[in-house]
Amino acid sequence: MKRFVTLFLSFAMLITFLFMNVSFAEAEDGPLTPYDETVTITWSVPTSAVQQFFNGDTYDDNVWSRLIKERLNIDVQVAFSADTSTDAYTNKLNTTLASGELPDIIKWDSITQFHQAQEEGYLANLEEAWEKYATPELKAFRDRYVDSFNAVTVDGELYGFPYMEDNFHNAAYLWIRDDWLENLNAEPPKTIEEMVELARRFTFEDPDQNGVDDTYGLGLQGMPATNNVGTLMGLAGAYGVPGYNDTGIFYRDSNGEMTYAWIQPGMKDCLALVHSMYEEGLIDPEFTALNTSTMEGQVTNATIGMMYHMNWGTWHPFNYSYQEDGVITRPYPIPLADGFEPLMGINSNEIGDLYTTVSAECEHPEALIKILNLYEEVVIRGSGDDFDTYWANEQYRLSPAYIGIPTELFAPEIHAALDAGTSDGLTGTALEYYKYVTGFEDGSLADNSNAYGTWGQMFVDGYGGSMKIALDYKDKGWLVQNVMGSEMPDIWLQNSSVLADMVETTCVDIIVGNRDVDYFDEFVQNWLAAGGQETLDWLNEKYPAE
Amino acid sequence: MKKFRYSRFRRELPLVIMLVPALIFVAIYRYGPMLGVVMAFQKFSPAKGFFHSKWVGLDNFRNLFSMPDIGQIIFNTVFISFFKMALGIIVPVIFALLLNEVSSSGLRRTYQTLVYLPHFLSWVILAGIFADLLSKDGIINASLVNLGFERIGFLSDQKVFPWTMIISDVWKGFGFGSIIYLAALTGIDQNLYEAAAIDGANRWKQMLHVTLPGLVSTIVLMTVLSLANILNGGFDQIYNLYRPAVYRTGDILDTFVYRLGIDNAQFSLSTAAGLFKSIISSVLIITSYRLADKFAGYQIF
Repeated sequence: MKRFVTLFLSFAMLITFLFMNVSFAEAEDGPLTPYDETVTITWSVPTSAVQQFFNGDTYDDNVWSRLIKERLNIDVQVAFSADTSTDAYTNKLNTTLASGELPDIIKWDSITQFHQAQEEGYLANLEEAWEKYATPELKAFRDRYVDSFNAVTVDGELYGFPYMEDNFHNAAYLWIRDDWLENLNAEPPKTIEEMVELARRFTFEDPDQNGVDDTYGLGLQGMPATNNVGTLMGLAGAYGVPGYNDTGIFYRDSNGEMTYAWIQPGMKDCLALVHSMYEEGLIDPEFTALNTSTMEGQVTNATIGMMYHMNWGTWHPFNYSYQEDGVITRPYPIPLADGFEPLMGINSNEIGDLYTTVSAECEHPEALIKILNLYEEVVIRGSGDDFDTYWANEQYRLSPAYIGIPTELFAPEIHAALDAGTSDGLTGTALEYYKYVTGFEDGSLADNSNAYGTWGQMFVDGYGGSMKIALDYKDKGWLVQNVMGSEMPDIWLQNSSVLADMVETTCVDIIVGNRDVDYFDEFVQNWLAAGGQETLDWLNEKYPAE
Repeated sequence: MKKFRYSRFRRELPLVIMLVPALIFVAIYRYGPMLGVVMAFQKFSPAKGFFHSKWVGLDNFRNLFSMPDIGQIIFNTVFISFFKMALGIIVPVIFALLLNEVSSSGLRRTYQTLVYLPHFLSWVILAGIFADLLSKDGIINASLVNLGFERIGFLSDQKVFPWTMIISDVWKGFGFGSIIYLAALTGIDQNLYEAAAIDGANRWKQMLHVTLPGLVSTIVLMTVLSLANILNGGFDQIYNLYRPAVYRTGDILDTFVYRLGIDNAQFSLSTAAGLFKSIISSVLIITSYRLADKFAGYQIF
């Protein structure tokens, strides 16, 4: 607590200094008209370990800062930067909120922070600037991603630019290494029994053929209900538990009752199964010590060859085993459990990664819209060269505002093009994705990590990549979307981490045998008593049954 | 009289001035932040600040004590810190006594330096080392298996985890903790040993009847002073070594407050938990100083 206060104070000072640099110029008309006099715009930079820089670029001077200066005569300056892989960025935003001294463009990483800033009157109303400056192509996104935009719309007026997502593809898949299947002459499992049998063979039949007993059947990590890599998500999904990572999801079940994913009775069967796999040695006995980065290690050195994971597996972490041994790992639809209707949890479309807003003090709120117009023109509709320069290799993150290109947006047209074997009719991003997939398949882009990443999501052979499988989940009606969006009750804001801990410890305790599987019933009661029921009641009232 | 006081003041003035920066420092960084405890009684929102956040009285404390695991967490904290305290006194005393019996001073100094070392290593570093040593394939489990024993989940078994914390903490601290006892040992009158030897006491009897009684006041003092730490389970150690699998027996107040406050941004609730801990600790500190004064004649103020 003491640390917060000192942090708050020092930050208030820092940001005041940064603000002294802002200069202003006259407003101009037109979506992409450059300013007569250079306008300086400061922005908060969420840095990331995945960011790549070329030719000596930095956060201060890079492809995007140069392009924005050249095209719009806006001088983009870093107000502050902080790491998003730790708490650093969130903490900086919290101190910024406390001081009220915002940079011109600020990217919030939680909807709660966005709401706080908006209620305090720190944020500029962008409705007018949007109407006047946004290009028709940019405006189209607001119609396409209504839910995402809802999160940043207050009383019908726009206060920010959301991270757009159509979450249907954020379900879980079973990812399996090609070479292990081949070595054992095995088929991808269609049922839970087959999955367990394959895990058994992966454990005991030396799938990597090195003569050493050094493999496990199923990859699982220490926080399997919270994290994506080695998650319980898809496995629970087979038992009708639409579990979703992080805090789980709320939904109306088939009886019309508001309920929560991780407390479904099917979870008991799921945990009993995983417990028996653990007892049999099909799961690393020390899995409780594993986290996402140690799981990367297990993937890289081929300790595990099968695990449940999200749609971006070929971007992370299976890119490691691909780079290491050239081994392809591909997604399969989840194996099904007898007697259960599968349900896959996905988050509300209102929830995204970053919410880009403009300070109420900023003289040029339309600058954000202009930057977005430019981004849309260059990346979404631009040439292949533009795409390579401004999007690929994480370069898009260097723009103060970007459109988090929803990959799923292009999936149907790319699938159609791949089926037809021609790129006719594809443009912009879709065309670039198509080139990645075909380039990876014909070997010309075999060393390109963007190509492997995109291929894993988009390919159409067999079961297809994660997008094709997701569309299949969608068609079968397995997807269950979180009812809770950007608005949350106080009790949930307060207790969600304690409740998430309860879910996590219950799962792990039952899997390793610290507690009997019947403890699950007690957990459900505890969960409801510790704020779960109150949250369900709140949601029930807010989103009444139709 | 007046003149004397004035000259004394003048004499001490430079010292007083030199003290000012330190006082300012303490005021800003130690007393200033204390005002932040007001958050414990508010529904604190960073955007609203201390002055405009809603006042909720004791609600945060009520919420804190209605948290499902709070009882277990307080028990874990007291359990772990009690054994850390107890062993943290017994082991250094035994070590000091043993070291005292080593006749070669070169050997003695080598031992002393070796056991001091871990004290100076941060838990962040040691946690990495321990995680390796104590893992399923680590050197300790490998040795156990070779000797025909079962593997032990030092960091993953709920029953074992608290003891891993206690023993590794004692291992880290006993060398440094023994300094004070070694110092006390040098203060024991050598004549007493000679007298005892003449009376026919062997080394063992000498230790029992001369050395130990000479240490008793120091031991009592250290015990009493350590009472104040009963709610300090050792955040940096546990935070770096625990995982959800051992939350049930390994989660202590400090780690709980951290998860609540930082991960969940519940500043008010975690402030309330911190304040609760501080109040209990202050009571214990005051009691222990009283006791120290009574039993060991020790006074700080």
